[in-house]
Amino acid sequence: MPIFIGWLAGVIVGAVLAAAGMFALSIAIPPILGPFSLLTALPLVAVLALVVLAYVLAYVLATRSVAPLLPAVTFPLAAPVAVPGVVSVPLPAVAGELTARGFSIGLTAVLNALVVLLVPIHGVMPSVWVFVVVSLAIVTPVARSGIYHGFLGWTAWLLPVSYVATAVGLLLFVINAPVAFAFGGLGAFRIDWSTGVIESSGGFVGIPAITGSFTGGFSLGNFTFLTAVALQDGFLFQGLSSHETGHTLNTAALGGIVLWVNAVDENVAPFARRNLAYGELTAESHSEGLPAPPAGARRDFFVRSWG
Amino acid sequence: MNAAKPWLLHAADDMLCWIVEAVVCFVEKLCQFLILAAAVALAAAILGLVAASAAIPVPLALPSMIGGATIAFAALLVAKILCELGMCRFLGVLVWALKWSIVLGAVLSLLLASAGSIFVVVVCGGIVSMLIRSMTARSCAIPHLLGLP
Repeated sequence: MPIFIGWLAGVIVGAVLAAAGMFALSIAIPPILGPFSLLTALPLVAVLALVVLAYVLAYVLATRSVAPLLPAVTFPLAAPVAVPGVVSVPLPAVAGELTARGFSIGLTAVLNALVVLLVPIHGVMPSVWVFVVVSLAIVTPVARSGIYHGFLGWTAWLLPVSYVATAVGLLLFVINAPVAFAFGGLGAFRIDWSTGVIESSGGFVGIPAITGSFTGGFSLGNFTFLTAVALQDGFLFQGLSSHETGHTLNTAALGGIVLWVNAVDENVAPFARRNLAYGELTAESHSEGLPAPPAGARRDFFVRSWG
Repeated sequence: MNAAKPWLLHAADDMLCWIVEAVVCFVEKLCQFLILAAAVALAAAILGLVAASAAIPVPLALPSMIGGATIAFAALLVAKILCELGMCRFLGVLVWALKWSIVLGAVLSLLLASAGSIFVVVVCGGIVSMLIRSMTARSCAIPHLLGLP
């Protein structure tokens, strides 16, 4: 129930902000948005700032809600926190986190659907598709289904709110690809057909002079990057690659802005929560929901959103 | 006459072996061809659908869709009868065709600058993901994009 209430609030706030944005851009407001045209005197910059603020507040609420369930540590962290036992630790569902997650999903669904509605294509079908696919992330059994992950991940290519991350990912992919190819050949590139993600390994992102001591991976929407080809593992098994595709699902359902908030929360002092950052906890659930590879299961904390 | 009989029998045996091998090889090659033809035709049909979803009309879209679907159906039907096409192989044909449709369809969508075409490609992505999950659950080998179906 809290996730549905959050989703409803996100849809309403999203509709109000979308109507305000259309008004600021002098675009004819669709009749469906008529009742939501409450903020008609705001400049576009203010509308965008409010959208970012809405996402940040939801992220903060989620972070604060799960904080009591996590180990008592002092931030910023220098390294990820290890789980106490030999198995991963799923965090119990809490109302605050569910409401915040639902809010972000509702906001993302309505913003995406309304922007897609403005694109001249055949009818409203793609807009309805986008709204329904993103919104289904509030239905727990659906959100944890691998089949849904496929539709959500591939649909992310259509989602304007994801472009906040995916556009940067595309740019980095284009810049990085020749170097990654020179070092790793075609094997440096993979497509995860199960979530619609393009993964590249090595290249500029694997050169210590550029990335420092960082080894691992990161996600930028539907593009994921690993620092070395040797780090590649199965997309349908627990591992780094499936953790990164978990971020893609986050970006699709919770919005591209959340990915950037997650990046700051994970890496930048005074936060630097590492694996305890809310975005990491949700992304990790995608990996944790998959079978363990022969090499052994992953061990981490996670919020049970994708698996 | 007596010495010629074993030689003749031997020759007949050899010939029979060659005929059997030829038939087996022919059927095997035919099956491979049918499966490849079905996969390529299916990919053509899906690409036709991608093109047909563009705002600007593409002349070959509809014939490619209908022709591709017909050939794919016929080839799969013959393969089912002749080659004992199993579920893994059948799903493999669909996955291979969808993978190529997605790659070529994405390029086509960009060339046509069509959001409608991209939408079809995205839906194909969802379907291929679903089929891959189904193949994984059945322990089927998933066809590689650059391999054969």
